[in-house]
Amino acid sequence: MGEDRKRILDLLAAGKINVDEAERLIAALGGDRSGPAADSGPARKAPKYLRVVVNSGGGFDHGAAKVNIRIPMQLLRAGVRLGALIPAPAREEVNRALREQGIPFDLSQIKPDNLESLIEQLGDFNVDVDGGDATVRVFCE
Amino acid sequence: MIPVFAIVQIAPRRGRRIRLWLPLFLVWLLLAVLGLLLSPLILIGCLIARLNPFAVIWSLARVFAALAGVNIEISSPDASVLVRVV
Repeated sequence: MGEDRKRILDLLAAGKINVDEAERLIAALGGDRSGPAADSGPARKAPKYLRVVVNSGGGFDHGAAKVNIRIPMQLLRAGVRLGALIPAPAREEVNRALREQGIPFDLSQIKPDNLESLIEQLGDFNVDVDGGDATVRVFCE
Repeated sequence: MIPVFAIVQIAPRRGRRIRLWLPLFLVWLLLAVLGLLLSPLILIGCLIARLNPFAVIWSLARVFAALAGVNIEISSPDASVLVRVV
């Protein structure tokens, strides 16, 4: 436990500060990640796979159907790096087509640096659709 | 690591189940030979598109390598299909 945190808890134990004040002080120390307490928190791991799971009770005309797809994130990374090689005129064409479809997105903005943080954030990504007969789940693991 | 095998399984509800182990390393070998044969054309194409041919080859190799771990399972009342790259 960090020395500052210990002091705050001592002050709390001695009744010199109340719980709210202790909480505020500890939160203010949040930027200090040198203590073992900070290190012991769960580290966010980048997801390894994108999963798509579809269970359809009666989706087809006669019976249940299931889809289970697992795509490695590595493939996404490689695809983006390959996409970075798209020649500028072709990229402009793609951007224009996307804009026409109502998706104002610039492909050149996806860079390997941005991609890593995007993939890290995808760990919390979870789409869960329950449509009665069918359920669809898209998530990362 | 570049995937070396792909498993393709097709199982119809009635009839014979097909399970194939596809040796991808043979495909990579064939692609390598084909790439060498077509390298002048690839080079010309890259020059026209103003691309670095080494970057293109490296990026394609990364895509192939990243295929390891792909798993696709689809089952319907009539048949089920499994594609797994290992």
